[in-house]
Amino acid sequence: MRILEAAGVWKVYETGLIRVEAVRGADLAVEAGELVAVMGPSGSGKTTLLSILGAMLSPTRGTVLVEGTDLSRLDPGELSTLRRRRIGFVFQAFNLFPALTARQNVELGLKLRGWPAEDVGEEALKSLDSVGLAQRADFLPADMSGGEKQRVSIARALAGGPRFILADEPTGALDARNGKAVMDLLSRRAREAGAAVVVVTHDSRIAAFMDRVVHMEDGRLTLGEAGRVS
Amino acid sequence: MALVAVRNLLHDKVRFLITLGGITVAIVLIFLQGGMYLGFMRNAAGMIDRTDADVWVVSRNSPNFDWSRPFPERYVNKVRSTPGVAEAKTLIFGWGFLRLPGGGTEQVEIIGYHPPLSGAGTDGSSWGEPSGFVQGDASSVLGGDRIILDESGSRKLGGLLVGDKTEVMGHEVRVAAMTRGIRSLTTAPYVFASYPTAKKLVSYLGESNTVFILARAEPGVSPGELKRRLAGRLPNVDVLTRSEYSRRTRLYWTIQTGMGFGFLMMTFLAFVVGLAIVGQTVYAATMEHLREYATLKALGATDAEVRTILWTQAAASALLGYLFGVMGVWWVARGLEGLGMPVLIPGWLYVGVFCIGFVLCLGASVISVRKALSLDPAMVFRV
Ligand SMILES: Nc1ncnc2c1ncn2[C@@H]1O[C@H](COP(=O)(O)OP(=O)(O)OP(=O)(O)O)[C@@H](O)[C@H]1O
Ligand SMILES: [Mg+2]
Repeated sequence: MRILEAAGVWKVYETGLIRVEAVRGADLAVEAGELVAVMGPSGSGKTTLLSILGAMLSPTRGTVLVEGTDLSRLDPGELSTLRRRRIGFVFQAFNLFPALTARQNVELGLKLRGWPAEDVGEEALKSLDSVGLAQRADFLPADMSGGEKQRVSIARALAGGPRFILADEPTGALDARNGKAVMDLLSRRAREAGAAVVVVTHDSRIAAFMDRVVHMEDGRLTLGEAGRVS
Repeated sequence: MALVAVRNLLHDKVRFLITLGGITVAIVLIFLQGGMYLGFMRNAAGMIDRTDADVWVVSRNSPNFDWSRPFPERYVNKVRSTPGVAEAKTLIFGWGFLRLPGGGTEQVEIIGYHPPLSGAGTDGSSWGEPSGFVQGDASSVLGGDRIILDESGSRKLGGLLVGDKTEVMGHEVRVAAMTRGIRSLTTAPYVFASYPTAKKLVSYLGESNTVFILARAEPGVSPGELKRRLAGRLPNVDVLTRSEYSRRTRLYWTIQTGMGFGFLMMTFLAFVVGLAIVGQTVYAATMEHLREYATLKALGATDAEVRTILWTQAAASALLGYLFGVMGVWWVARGLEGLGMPVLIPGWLYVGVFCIGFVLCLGASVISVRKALSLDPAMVFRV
């Protein structure tokens, strides 16, 4: 089943006199259970593309379908709803709420997904357990290591079972061991739950976990082969 | 969402305390402005409000109790013979000087009333005589050349006590009784004396003049009706119901003297300063949490949910600041009362200031809310 289908995506930033063509005609399709890495030099448009796929940024041109829904047909409120219900986000800087404990962070994600209040506690613990952090449930982010924080943020992204996971440099702030743990978690979710996972990264070691690596350069995507950096 | 709101609020404790401090100070200031204004007004119209008279006859255009001029005393007979009048009495008000025990003089406001023959009074109704006695009673001035002071006035008059002798306008008088809680609005304390003694002390009045006539209506006659009947029969004076005269007095002090405007201005300033302090800390807090708001929006939180967080924080701060403010004002008000400043805080003022505090906190959050709502969710990916 096709989770993501993007065709002819262009994004032009226009700020004053400066015009940047950040994405220039990108096509990308990702099936359920598939892990795709987007690699490329800095400034090549990876984050811009990810924001468009994640329904946060509208493309200047082109279409994006998420689980069959054409994003261009949705108003901002409906785009919010789609993000909260169907997409899991993982960020390079974790983006946890510093005032909330690990468990509360995951609960917040579940509440946004519309889970009933009486179920979120148990589900949040389950999700933390699946990333091996059940015993850290009541820690504040400030009291956790970078790797632990990223695992909490993955627990938040995966809780509630979204079929579409987007991650921007999820291992960027982590050492090799923690980076591997994070990638293990993401690929397990793809294999076991049939989620489509798109990971933007600089880290070539990640390629080993991937079904497919696509390269981005100057806003253009070049398709690579499964399991190999092209 | 409420959890995020409260947690974030408590996360930076120093900032939260500054916010609370700003709100609390503003609340206390607003309370004090309102309370002092009401306290002054209570004193301004206190002599009028304390009486049981239905109607006051006062000099034409008398702007307030303390600034009334004399008119012919014989009017009281016309009042008494008017149908519907149950009882009428004269009351003197005049300015004078009292010699202080240590030398020097102090200006006083002399009030001459008809003392009851015994301490209990005739029928318990009030005709302008003092009340709230600590020593003696309203009949203590019988016998002439005796005065009654209020504790607040006695402090100002060099600590005169019951039994002490002094001089008012060159006449020797003795302090015969002491009350508590009767204050004039002006800086001159009230000195109560019997009607004949007061007439002697306020010599400028003239033998055949008085300053007020107070009248009570017979059962079944309304104050308004009594006022109409009297007004037709008395030339060159104003006939007012008690509440009209009380209101006129308060209005005079509020508007003519600029006192009301001053209090309003101070209240407004307190509000603006509070708004600035709170607005600034709330805005700084929002800016510091921008990434979190962007994250919330990226994760699909609606504008309503983001708003809820900020409004909840504003409301919680308002509530806490108000509670501290009430405690603070209770404390400050007692200190001011001790210094002779009247502070009167009725129940409705609590409600009013609470609403003002709420508006202040919501107003202080408006810019922050707009800032948070205008965030581009895509900014989450930019570290
Ligand atoms: N909001 C924006 N307004 C204007 N230009 C932008 C904006 N966001 C990105 N750009 C420009 O678009 C281009 C692509 O940026 P993008 O962040 O997508 O690159 P990236 O591949 O993610 O880079 P990096 O690897 O450094 O994160 C850059 O030239 C950048 O300056
Ligand atoms: Mg990037």
